Amino acid sequence: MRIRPQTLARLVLVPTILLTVIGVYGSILWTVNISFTSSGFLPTGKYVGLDRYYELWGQARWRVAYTNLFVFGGLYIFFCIGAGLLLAIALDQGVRGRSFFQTIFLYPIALSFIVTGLAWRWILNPTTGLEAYVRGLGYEGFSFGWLSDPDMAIFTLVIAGVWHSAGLMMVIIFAGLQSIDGEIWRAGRVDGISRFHMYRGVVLPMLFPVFVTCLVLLAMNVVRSYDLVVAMTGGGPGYSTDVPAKYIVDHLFDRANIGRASAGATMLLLTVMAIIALSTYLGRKETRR
Amino acid sequence: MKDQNAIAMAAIYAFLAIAAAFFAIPLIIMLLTSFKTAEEVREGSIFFLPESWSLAAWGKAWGEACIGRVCEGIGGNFWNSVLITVLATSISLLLASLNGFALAQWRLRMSGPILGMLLIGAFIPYQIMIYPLVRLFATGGMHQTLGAIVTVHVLFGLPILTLIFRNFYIGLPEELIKAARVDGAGFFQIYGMIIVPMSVNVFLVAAILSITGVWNDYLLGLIFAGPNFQPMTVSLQNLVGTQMGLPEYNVNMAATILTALPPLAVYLLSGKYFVRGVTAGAVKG
Amino acid sequence: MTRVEIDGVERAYGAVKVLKGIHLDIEPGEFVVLLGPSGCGKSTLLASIAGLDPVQGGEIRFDGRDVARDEPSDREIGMVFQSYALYPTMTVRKNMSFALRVAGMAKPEIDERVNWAAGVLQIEPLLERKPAALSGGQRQRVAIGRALVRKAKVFLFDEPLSNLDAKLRGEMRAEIKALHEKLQTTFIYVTHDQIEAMTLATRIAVMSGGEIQQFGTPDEIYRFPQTRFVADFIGAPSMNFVDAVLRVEGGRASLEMGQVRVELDDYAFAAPPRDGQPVIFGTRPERITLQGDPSPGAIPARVTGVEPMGADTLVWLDTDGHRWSARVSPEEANALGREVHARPDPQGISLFEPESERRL
Repeated sequence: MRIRPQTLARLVLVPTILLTVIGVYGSILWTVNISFTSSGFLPTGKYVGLDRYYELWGQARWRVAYTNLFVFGGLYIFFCIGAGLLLAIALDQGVRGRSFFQTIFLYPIALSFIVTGLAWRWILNPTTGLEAYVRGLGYEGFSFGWLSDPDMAIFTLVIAGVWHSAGLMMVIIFAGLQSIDGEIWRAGRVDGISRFHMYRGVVLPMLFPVFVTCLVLLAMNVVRSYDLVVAMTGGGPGYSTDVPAKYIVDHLFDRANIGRASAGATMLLLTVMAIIALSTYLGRKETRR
Repeated sequence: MKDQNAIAMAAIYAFLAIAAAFFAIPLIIMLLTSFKTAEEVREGSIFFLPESWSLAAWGKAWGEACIGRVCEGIGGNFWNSVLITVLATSISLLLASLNGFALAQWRLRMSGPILGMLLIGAFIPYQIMIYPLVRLFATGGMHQTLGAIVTVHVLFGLPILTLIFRNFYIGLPEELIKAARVDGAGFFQIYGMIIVPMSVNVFLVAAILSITGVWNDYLLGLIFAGPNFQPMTVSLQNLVGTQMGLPEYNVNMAATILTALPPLAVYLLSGKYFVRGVTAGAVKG
Repeated sequence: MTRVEIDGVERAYGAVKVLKGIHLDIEPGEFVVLLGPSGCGKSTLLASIAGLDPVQGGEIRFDGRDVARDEPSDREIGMVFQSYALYPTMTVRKNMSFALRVAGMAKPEIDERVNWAAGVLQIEPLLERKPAALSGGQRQRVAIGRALVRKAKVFLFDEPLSNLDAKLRGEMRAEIKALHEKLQTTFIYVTHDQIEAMTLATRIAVMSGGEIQQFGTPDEIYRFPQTRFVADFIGAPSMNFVDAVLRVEGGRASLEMGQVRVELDDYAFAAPPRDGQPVIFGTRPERITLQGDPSPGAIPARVTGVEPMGADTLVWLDTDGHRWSARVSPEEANALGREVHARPDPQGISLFEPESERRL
């Protein structure tokens, strides 16, 4: 007997569904479960309720890492979208060589965060990089040692992150600008409204859903940020640039504290769920308007 | 009025030029450094041109640089990355296009929830899932094998790739599939003879997304690939991070560029497909 | 030539019944048109016959063999779709040979059949082109050719002409009719266009609300509509209606509308008429003559509008609150005043029972 095509359509989905249910959802449940145990080197501990969470939040390193998520994330998202918006608007003014500029702005997105981090680490290296160059020019007092300054190192991550992702924001926002009906611009000109006011009052509000998309995209990068930190600062100096993603991996594999790592992972999961909820809310709000 | 416009345009060009410098300079500095000799790197500034363009650092990065005690460079890891990328991308594309076709054109009752389940999973950071996956592979005797690293790449790549294919296939007229069914074609014949030839562009976009994603990955390679299939990004980080003695920045930069080269080439060669690939994630349903 | 029997076919989407037990008996070699407004179930019925939409009850028999649960490809049908559904990456030749290649037919025979079908449809010069390089009419031909090469037992058409412009539609209509005469195969054709239905069909099945309202020749459907729906749906402008009462005196039936009486000597009643029975009276616009002076059997009316159509003129009337139309010659229309009297032709009367809306 021949198998009906509808049956085959269901069958081809089976590997993906199995893979996802076990690999993604099964793993999530496993991790959440372990976060309530005393597991150390092996995931075999007894249930200890919320002890691991108290332990986690009692630890300065985790608090720094979790705070960094928001410090780094807030600045990274703000500057990425800001730079992307400015670049997109500039390119939208009918400039020549648009695809040339676009190619330059966007290429970093093709590079890994490891490459990004190593490149910027080299440039910001105080003894050989930018600082040395400017001092060589005669400005002996110039100092740009953020990379080795525990208070400032987090901002070097922001610079590298923005360099990596701003081009993508530019492309997305530019596509949004292009999708706006030319008649709106003509109507604005007939009404005598300046380009600045057209952008601020009409065009940008129309792009609200695009900004929500950008926000979600960048927020996911922030939550996942591991490679960039490893390549650029290794979490240091000290643990001043640690982030939850790195904290978790370190505790899983180097410090063999699976229970605490799982508690951190669960906190990260809750953060992601909050981001999803927020973006859904923003999306809904938009459609209701 | 004319003058004002000219000034405004000049300001815009100036802004774009400064921005272009900001984006371009890191790559230029990496390139310059990689062509210098070790001595020059120590003495000169990063902004100076090399006195004599030397390929020595490139050769060393590829074949002789020491990671810990092993001095084999990262050339071998290049081929590991190629192998992982080719396998993971081909399996992902095959599965994702079949999934997309099944979800878009066969009126399956569960297609909405299945897609939702896939996409929500795609938002979860890997850190939450890696340890259970390590245990799972260990149980199956697959820990740190080629199979393990390819499987995790497929697992995490599938949602977005499935979405890309599904969004394209949902736009195809239903009557096309009906006509093919009347003509006697089965599921795989319709897929292979009608759907795949129609979606060459989508395959290209999805392949670009998958290739750059897999190649640029660090975390999964670090944990799942093991020493035998260690990808280039991991060995690069090890090379730069664990050097003994004086750091050889020219070698580091050559290694960095070698690692960046394949996705950069994909980017420069594929043009608008790359843009469509990276923005495909942005147009979620 | 294949007999197609549709026996109690049912289909529901959730709580919505789209096909409510359809019965249709199609003779071998007939050209049957399924006609109805959108949402009447005609396309679902065609999809059920094709096997593209699973039926939930009943049988579909091709020459006595129930195919209701067979795959479309096992039913030996050819189908032409509204959007043509040509495979965009294949040339015309590949499009037409696709089914044969899938079935694993030998190449010489495939070529022979494709060339034959291309000859029938006069598309030989197009064989190596891709669909994108074809005009609408040419695509339509290829879509038909794709069905033709399979030597299908039954041809199904799903609104095949609705994407064409008016002139081309007329031409393709004539070609499809000629094709049917040449092939003598059973054709089932879905449309919402009554002109298409009238010109093409040997028999029309008028559908509404998932049921067949009437199945008959175009002439029967037009002249003797079995339900008020059919009377209203067929014809443009549609039939004129008014409520009336039947009078039976001395074996002679007549109709009473207010002051006016219309004799019904020639009307073929389905059941014996009863005196005092309320009815809906219907008459087509071309079955009305307009006079200036009152006469027995003529209904007083006021002219509200005149639309010259060229060959004839449409006169819109107000008959005591009902909007009627009458089709008259341009000369007659010019002679009309504001107040007229509309006299229905006794030969062109339809009566319906008000409750069931069925023909009396």
